[in-house]
Amino acid sequence: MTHTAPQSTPHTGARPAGTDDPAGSVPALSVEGVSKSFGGLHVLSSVDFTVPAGTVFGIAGPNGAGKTTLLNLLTGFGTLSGGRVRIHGEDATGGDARAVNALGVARTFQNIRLFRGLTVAEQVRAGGYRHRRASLLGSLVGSPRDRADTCAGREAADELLDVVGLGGRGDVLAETMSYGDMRRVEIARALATRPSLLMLDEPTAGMNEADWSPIADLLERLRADGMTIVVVEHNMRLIERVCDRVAVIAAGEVIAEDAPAPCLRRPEVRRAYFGK
Amino acid sequence: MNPNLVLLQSAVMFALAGGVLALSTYVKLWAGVLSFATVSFAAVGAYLTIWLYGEAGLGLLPALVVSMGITGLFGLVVGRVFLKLSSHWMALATVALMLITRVFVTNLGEYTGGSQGQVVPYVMTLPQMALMLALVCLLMWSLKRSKFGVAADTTREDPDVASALGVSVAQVKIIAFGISGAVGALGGSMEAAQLSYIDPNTFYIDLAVTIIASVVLGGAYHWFGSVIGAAVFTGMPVYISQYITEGQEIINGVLLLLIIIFLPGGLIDPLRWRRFREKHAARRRDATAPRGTGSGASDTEDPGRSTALSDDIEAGARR
Amino acid sequence: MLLLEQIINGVCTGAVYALFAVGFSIVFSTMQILNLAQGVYATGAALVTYFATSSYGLPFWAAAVVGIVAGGLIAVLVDQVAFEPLRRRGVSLLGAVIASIGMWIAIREVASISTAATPVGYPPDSVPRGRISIGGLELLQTQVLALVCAVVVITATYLLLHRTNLGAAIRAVGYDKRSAQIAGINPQVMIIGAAMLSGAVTGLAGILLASGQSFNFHLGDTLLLQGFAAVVLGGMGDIRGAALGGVLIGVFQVLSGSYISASYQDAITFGLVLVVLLWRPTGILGTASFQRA
Repeated sequence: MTHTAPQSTPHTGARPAGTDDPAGSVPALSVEGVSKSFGGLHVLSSVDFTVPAGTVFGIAGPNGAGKTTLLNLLTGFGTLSGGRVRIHGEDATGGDARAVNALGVARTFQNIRLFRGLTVAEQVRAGGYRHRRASLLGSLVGSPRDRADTCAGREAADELLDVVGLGGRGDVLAETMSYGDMRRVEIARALATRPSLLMLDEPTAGMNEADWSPIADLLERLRADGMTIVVVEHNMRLIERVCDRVAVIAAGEVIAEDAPAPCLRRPEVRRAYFGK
Repeated sequence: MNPNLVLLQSAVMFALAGGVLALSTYVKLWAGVLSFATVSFAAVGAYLTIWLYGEAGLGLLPALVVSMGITGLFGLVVGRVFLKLSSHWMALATVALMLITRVFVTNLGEYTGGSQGQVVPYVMTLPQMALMLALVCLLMWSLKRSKFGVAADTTREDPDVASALGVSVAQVKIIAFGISGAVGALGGSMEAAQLSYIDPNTFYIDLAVTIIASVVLGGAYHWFGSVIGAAVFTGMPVYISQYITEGQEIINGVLLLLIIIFLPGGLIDPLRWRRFREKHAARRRDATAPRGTGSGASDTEDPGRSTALSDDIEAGARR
Repeated sequence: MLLLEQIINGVCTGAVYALFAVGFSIVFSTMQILNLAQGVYATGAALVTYFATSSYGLPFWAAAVVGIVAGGLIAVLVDQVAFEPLRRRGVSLLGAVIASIGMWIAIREVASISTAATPVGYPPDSVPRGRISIGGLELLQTQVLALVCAVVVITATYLLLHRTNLGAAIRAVGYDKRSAQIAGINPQVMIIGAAMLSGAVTGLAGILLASGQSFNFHLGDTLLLQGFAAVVLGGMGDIRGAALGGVLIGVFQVLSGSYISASYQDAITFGLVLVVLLWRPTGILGTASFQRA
């Protein structure tokens, strides 16, 4: 599938290699003919799309269309029945979640999956796991490097909590928070892995506008910093606001892919949503 | 010396040995693995220490260190081999390991005294044992703060998510087995010293069950719980044996049942403590300022969340 | 001829393991509980049978029936005391394992106290002791009894669970409690029924094992370990697999004992179990796995 860059780039701070020159750069994510079947049931059939680095890509579609399944496959949760996934040009097909993470991918979950019993700050620090350098032995003897590590981890976590709007709430037990705040914690935890490609599964599900608007702001800021974002969403206003392109999936197939406004106006998209 | 005091001292020493053994099991549970392998490690470690001390002529301390090293390697191997087994199958495999260990202990009479058992050639004093437990506790404390601690916490709670954060679930489990092996060897050597005579039934089902019970009683969410649990299940019976001669196991069994039903987090449960603190803080907040500054999303839009968070011993079992 | 005799010996021993494994599988397939207290059902039934014959002078057959009922009742007791509160609260499977350990050690201690921790045996004249000669093969009557009982009971259990409405209801509860409830099945009744059945079958295994030897309160522990081995070989949650696994373990035990090494017999058996676990984690025949649980 050929791909054209979005016509306008609303953010000037984007990484130069990103949207302005798609031909000369490696896309952050390319999905080539990905399909998945459980038993005889085809959940996804031959899904194709490409996400240039530095852009925000939306995935929309009615419930049960296979959006979450797709996101799971892209992040190493489950194996593909066919097709290929490339992340920053590297073949990630068949890699497990850890291998995909090593390629710079972080994600959140539709049914929030925070660690039970950990505070907000601990959740986020767990996200920084890969960037702790101290060896087991170093931790045992409390080496300076270990202490520096711990300090850096704390600071990074505090910073990220400020970024997602949870500053000062690091000591709260995450599971006691509101639904919306738990989603923010998940985003902060994902950001703590220092990803270059962030995949969000319905980051604003169950939120009203006052809640989701800050999330949209956050996505715009991240995009301005050059991050590539793939977001599965039902919220069309959020998609129109932050996404450069959107793919609509229905019954396991991509039925439309375009810039948000024209895409959502297409008759086949309306049919998929409203059944007419 | 006062006989009561002698009994108390003996009880304390059994509790110290039991504490080390319980921590050996705890390390694996920390990484989400319920396993009976600790008794196998204890057996290997104890017989190695006895042989190194008695036959190879090492001092007690070097014998212990070498024994812990070798058993730690054995633990790594066991962890690697059993890695792919999911929760219950893992437990079954370690039961099989325990049986196999016993057969070898029975048959390698030259080194183990066979089914007759043998006298343990070394002794340990109470301060020595206390120091050893303290060192193991120190190990746990630094592990908790280390990269391993984060990896183990997250692996136990949700291995899939942990691996999406870059944690190598396999590595964490193998390391946990290795640490468990070394600590179990120390615990086994201490237990042997305290018993002064060991046979193939020493490191077998009864001890395995007692250790698991200790960890569960203490709480699987903090290492200190295992030490407390061991005091209750391995130390206390020795002391109260002067009052209760029969039915000790009935008390233990019922105690275990009551804990798992009413206190599934165990006695030392940081989660419960944190929730309590949270509630307390919320009450204080409510008292000082009206709520409403937070997000509008209500907790009722949260189907299934409360069951997902319900207490259980080991979250790994849910997957 | 010697080999054949050994194999038949193994099959007869295995028949008892098979019964136990079937009892274990009933609990597992209906409740997804790895029940470590299963062994005490066997011990309990064997001891009740022993007291019924030695203290009350009941004939062996009648005493065995009393023992089997006792096994069933112990199973129901364990289920209601240990597992029911956990089911109601939705505690993890490993929580149930721990609870079953609690019941195991408590009931075993009761058994130990009731026999003063000494070995007991059925009165010599109460149990069939003779030998039967079939086609030149000399078999103990207790062995033949075990084999016949196992075949009849396992077949009946299989038919009950897979060919009757009651069995379908029990399995439905095991598969999805809520749906079964909607379909008009009372899950509580079915779970108690399954526990009773499991306890009775396990109890029979204990009585048969005890009939050939003197035994003590550890009787069930041996059965539990062999039963595990059988279940690992045959696959959990499938009665046919469990039965076949039991027979295989029996034959393997006898053969490895006489042809490889008698003293390493258990190590060989459980080594095999380990190999099977690692090679095929759902059992040689098994399709049921823990994934569903």
